[in-house]
Amino acid sequence: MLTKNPSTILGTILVLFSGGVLYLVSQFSTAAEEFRALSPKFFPDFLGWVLLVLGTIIFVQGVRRPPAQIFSDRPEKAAVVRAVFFVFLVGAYLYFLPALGFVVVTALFMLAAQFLLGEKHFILNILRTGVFVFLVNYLFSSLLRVPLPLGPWGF
Amino acid sequence: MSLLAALQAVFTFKMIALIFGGSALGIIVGALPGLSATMGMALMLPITFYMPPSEGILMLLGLYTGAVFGGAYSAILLNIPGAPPSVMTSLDGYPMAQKGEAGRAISLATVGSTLGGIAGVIALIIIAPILAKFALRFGPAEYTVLAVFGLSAIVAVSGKSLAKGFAGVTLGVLLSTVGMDNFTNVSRFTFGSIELMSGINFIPVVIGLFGLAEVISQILESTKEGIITKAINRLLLSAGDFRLILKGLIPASLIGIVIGVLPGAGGTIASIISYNHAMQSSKEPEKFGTGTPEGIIAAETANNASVGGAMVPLLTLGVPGSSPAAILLGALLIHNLRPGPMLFTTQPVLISTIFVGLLVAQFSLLLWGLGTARIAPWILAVRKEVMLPVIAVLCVIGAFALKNSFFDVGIMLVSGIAGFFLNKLGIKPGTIILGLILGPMFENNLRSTIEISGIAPVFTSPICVVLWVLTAAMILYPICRMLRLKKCESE
Repeated sequence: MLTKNPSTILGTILVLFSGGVLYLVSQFSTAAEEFRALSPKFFPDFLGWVLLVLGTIIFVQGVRRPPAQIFSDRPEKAAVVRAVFFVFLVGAYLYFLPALGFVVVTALFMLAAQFLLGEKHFILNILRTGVFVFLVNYLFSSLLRVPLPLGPWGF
Repeated sequence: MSLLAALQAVFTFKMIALIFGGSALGIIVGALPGLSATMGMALMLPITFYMPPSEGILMLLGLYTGAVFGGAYSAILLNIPGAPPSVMTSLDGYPMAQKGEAGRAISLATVGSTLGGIAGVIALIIIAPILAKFALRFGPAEYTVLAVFGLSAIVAVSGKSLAKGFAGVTLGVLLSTVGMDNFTNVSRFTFGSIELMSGINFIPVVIGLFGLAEVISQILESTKEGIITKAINRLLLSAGDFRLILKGLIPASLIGIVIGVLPGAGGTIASIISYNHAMQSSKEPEKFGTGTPEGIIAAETANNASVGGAMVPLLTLGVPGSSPAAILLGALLIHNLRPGPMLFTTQPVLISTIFVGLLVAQFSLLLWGLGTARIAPWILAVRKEVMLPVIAVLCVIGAFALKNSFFDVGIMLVSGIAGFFLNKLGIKPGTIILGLILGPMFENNLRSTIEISGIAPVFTSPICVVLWVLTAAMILYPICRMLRLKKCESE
């Protein structure tokens, strides 16, 4: 019987993942095997089997235990929505960063993220964002000489 | 000779500023609930890439020391340990703050942490060269078993489930096999990607697992803290307080050092054991938990003494015993410095610089701890709605700065999301990181041993036999403890 215990979920994921690992290992090139005492397949193959056994054990442990919450305190629906949007916001940040440059995209991300997380004081948000973007840009570009992505405007 | 060079290297304005700056940052990171020493170090790690090794390492050590202590602020003023090692500090620190003795509690924590930290560094200076000299006898076979020992020790303390601890380590080791095989140049799990040919760099994974995953976790959590807002006064300690500190110093420091040296243990376990020891050896154990200074001294002295202890296996054997130690290992590796006994021979000045710098970091605690106690409530008032976007940006830029590669940023993002779910399902991120670091040590040394002399030395060399016995003890101990608990419950 499949219960909602985190261990059954984790066990299932690990068993499926180990299956994928073992399949991929079987596709490794075998050209070099005869020249070496230990094949390059050996270690990943061994780990795949270990993961399969551990996944099965964790699954069985989960089935034998009563259903339990994955989160000790069930998060509010609004918090879950915020977290999902935040992850998408980070994804969008990464997507636009190479094209629009660090300064503009980081400023937009900071403003949007603060607003999303409930910090509604717009003027303060702009001030904080400005100071933070300036400091990080100065630290990485000028002091550490890390070439941060530049936008079409040259900053 | 190397000591003189180390003193010259450390006592420069830049180095002192880096140590004190790292320490101040560490105190802030440690004080803010939800941020850990590991997260702070992970975010600062890419910056050290652009510094000389000694500067980068000492800044991280300052941060580590500061973060272990910084947790005491929130433990005393919020009743929430800002960092896990301060868990026992809140038991007596918060009741003291409620009685209007927050200043005294912070001063006790500061002085206890400083003295404990100094004891830890002295132990490191004495033990490390002896162990390093002994470890020169280690060959590939011994390092193979040492890696197994390191992994098993970490599994043993990785949480409630031994199987999940093993699974975390296995996932980490599996990640370490991605890329071109060192021995045969066969591609493993690269999916035709050129970026994956050189393997998965552990820094973006660390930033994702400890930075972004924690940000997501914090967004989902709603915490309503009741901060002590009364003015923090009476920072000066009395002669009686100093007598209490000196009385608790030796046992708490010894516990901290021994626990710190053990792979997998660390500040949290050290403070719990030290607190329990202080309670059991006290004439008034019933006062513990109601705001007794001895409780704060025992917990804070031990957790900071463990920092020096944790450096022993890292520097002498190249085995990180904890997640912060793993990040320090990473900081050395990105400068092509492989911790281990040879480091003592090839880089004696760097080793001495680490010793001296770590000692200076302890004194920086004293300065910051007493100097910033009055503004501690302001530090704790930083809102997470502001802090979390800042951390997210630092995660992205930190992962990018390593090789100016967006591929690494992608690795960080995937690690962060996967790490969040794995953590919720019971796999601790530290187990994955340590597997990722110790995996190559195990595989490369095992294969070298087999190529040179077959598998036999792994089981027959006297050092290997001792390490196998220790490994078995590390795995069997939690199993026996679990069985004993079950037996007690059924009775």
